[in-house]
Amino acid sequence: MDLQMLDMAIRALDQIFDPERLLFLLLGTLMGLIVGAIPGVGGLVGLTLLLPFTFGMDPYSAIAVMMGLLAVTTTSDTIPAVLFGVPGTVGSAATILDGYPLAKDGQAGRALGAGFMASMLGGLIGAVLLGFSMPILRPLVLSVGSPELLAICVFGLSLVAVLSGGAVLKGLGAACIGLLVATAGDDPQTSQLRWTFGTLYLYDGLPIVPLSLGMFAIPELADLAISRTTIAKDIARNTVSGQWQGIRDVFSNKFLVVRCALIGSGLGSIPGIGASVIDWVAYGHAARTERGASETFGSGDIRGVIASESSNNAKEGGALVPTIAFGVPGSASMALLLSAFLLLDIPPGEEMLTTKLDLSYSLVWSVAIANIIGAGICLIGANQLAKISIIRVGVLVPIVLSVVFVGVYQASRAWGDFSTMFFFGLLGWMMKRFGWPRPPLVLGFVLGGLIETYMFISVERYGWDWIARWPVMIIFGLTLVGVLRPVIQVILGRDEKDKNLRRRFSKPRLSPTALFSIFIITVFSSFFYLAGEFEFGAQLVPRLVTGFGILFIGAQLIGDVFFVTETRDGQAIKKSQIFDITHSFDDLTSGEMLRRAVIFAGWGLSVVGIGYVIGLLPAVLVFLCCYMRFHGRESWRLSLIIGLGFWLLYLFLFQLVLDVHWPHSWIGLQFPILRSKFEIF
Amino acid sequence: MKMLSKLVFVTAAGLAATTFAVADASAQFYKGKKIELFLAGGSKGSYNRHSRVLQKYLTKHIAGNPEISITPMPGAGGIKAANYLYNAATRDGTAIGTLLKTIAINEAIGRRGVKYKTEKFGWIVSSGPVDSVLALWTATSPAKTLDGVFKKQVLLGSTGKGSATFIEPTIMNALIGTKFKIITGYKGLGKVHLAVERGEVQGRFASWESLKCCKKKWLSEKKVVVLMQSGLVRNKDLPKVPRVIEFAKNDADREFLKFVAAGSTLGRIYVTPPAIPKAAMSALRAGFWSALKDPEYLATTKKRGLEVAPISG
Repeated sequence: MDLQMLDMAIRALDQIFDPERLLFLLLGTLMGLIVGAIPGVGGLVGLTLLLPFTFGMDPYSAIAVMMGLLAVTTTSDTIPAVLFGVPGTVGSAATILDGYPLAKDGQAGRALGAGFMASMLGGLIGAVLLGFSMPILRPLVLSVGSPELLAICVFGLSLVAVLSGGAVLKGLGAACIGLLVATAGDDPQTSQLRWTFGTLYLYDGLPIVPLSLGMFAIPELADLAISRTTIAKDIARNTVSGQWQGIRDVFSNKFLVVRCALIGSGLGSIPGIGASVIDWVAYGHAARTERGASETFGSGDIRGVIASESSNNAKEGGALVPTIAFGVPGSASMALLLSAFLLLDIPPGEEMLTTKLDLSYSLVWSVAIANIIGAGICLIGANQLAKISIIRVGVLVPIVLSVVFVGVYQASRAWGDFSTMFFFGLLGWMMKRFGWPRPPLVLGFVLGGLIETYMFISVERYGWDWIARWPVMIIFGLTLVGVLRPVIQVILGRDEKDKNLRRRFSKPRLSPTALFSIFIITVFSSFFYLAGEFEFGAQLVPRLVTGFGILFIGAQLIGDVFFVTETRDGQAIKKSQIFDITHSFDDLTSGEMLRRAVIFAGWGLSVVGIGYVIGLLPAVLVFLCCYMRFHGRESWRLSLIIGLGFWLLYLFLFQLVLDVHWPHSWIGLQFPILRSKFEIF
Repeated sequence: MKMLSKLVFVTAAGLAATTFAVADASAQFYKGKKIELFLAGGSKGSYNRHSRVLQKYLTKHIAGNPEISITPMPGAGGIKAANYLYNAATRDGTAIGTLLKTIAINEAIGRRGVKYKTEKFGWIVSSGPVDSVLALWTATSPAKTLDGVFKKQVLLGSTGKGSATFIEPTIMNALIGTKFKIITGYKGLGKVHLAVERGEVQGRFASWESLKCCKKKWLSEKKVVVLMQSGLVRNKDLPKVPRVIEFAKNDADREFLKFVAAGSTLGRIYVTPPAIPKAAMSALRAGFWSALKDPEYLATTKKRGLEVAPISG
């Protein structure tokens, strides 16, 4: 960093420390914390809301308020992730794997403390990294072409093997589901519509928010509703000391924080690889490198929370790289930031690194300061928040579910968002029950589309020469080592714990798990067949993916039906360790469990059904009050007070502040006056 | 506190729908009402930029000073917004939209999902052309002159086969004999531009405004040469650059190229659902027309490199 840069950096700091701009930064940070904590509503929605207000501002203030918001959504998204197992933004899905079990164990304070501290440090590292790499940003971005991007995405996908834990075949199968889902929509190479089933909703592929909420939030809420207990049995350890314990945990794992922050900002700088993948890559990295991780990750290991949280906050620093240097957005929210820049006469590109360098540094400072303020606020409130985990289920489930319902609609503002969430909610719930790891599905979904795109561009542009580029070869080499190492370990001698295991042929039997596998194979086969309608370019990837999917799940099925794994002395092994939350209903018969699951699904579907008739927001009010009264058996008074209170909050936030365009209801179409007067019908 | 008062002012300005004594029906029509403007381009693209700048001038100039709210409705290459406006939006004059230049082409080629008839929309105004230009990167392109593009293969970057960045150069290859190889799949024009600078592709056939507003240095330092443009008439910034139609080999080809070019020239169109009240339509047309002529608005758009050259409805 030469003297001129230092001068610019200091000048930018001076600008940001103007009391008015600090106030804007604080305002942005507060808004960011709020939108981050609401599942489904992330930085993108928050920024959309802010955009009109920034037009009249000076560039530094506008940057302060916008970056303040963007920087901390991944700090507060830890709150619902830890407390309810519901990711606040797509970036905290990996946090729930260990954060939620910790909360169930009464250690919510510790998990939150660690999450917030790791978020802050990750955010700071991301900002510092961006600040120091300013002089080399342009050459750095220019050196990464489509073949390199392809190699990086393949590397990311290879982590499926790690994230599958002990259920590699199921994990690979889940990844194939994700890859298949990613092919839906308008194929840019052939312009063919794949799997849109005549709907416009699927034209642009599935949105990630309803998919992620379905995969991770719905199953957790369902299990909570089914088991009918509070999240944590007691709060004995939910004291200030728990939180300090969490902070200490972060510092005793400082190298993990640094590594995951590097992963976060590195991947964040690659357009297309967003928050929804970064936390899993960091989690996978931690699971692979941390001592004893394969035993404890997924069942309440604080290092899982630290890995996920430090990476997703570092991402914002990375995402700014292509945004500043070339005006190419590193993420969806960066695209919005970019359009705000243009309206503020801030020209992204070369000038940001020369004549307007102080503006670039004000971005860096804003990110850094917002991370400190954001984590500070969260840490102060963490203890009060932790108490949420002892709220009665009859009250908690409808509240969280209603937030999810209103939030998920913000994805593409279509009824289809609900179908997506329900579909993946059911799939996610079954996967959780049958011991299928869910993270590989998300990884496959996000990276699958990118891999297909970059693969076609690379081959069309370079033929097969692209493989010979040295960065590509290095990354592929690393990928290969990562994938082969476990295989080699198996060949050279099994792990200690496996030594006592043996597999033997047994009488064929058809468990529910096997039926689920058969179902997935049937789905794969039908899609394999249906893909035949497409022209070659469009059918290649779907056929490959479904073909491999059938192989993996087929092998799993044969194992499940014909073999048993047991210890040498004949003890049966129940299930293999996977990196995912498990929920046991020891005191429930499977019939009772299924009955409660159906009731839960009925409540969920009724919101959409009633919403169709009287409007989504009115339906949410009906749901809130009725669920608490009839299902939770709370008093009418309490049900109405809490229901109406939360509903008014949604009305204020979504209708008055965000000015959301609600879906048309039947009643609104019958009586247009209702729609035009109140807008919510 | 100057900034804070500005913030309050901006908020207040959005809410203010002040009353002026007005006489005739069209002047009364929007009094106290709110117009929802649907954007086919989503919240990130140039359609958003244009509409956001125009927003407050519409409130000022449409009789009755209605509040304008902007609702991005991206999806399906603009078809989602067009379908919504045509089939589902209220027809009382409070829902309007700005649609992409490809809506007529999409209807003509029978693209799946189209549920509208382009000519049945109520046409308010076009705020200006959406002209595309062929821009080649001088450092890497084998062809640097007009002559060259008919002789040498040039790699062009494109966002997808359904987009104008693919359709237009493909038509040129077929009808006027250019030799483009088009690499598709870049997610957005920004990434195409990055690929150009990186040397992965050698040029692109895409929006002129995107160069004018955001790649000023490319033009001033002659890093790109601009060789052809897409419109029916030459863009006022580019009087010396020939149009694609000028290379047509026969009348039939010329007619087809004209149909394609019309999309560029009509460009940024503002429409209403079919059959809205007459009073609303005349208020909208008059309001848009005078908003687009507002000197302050023109100064702002000029500063930001946004193209404005209105064509009435």
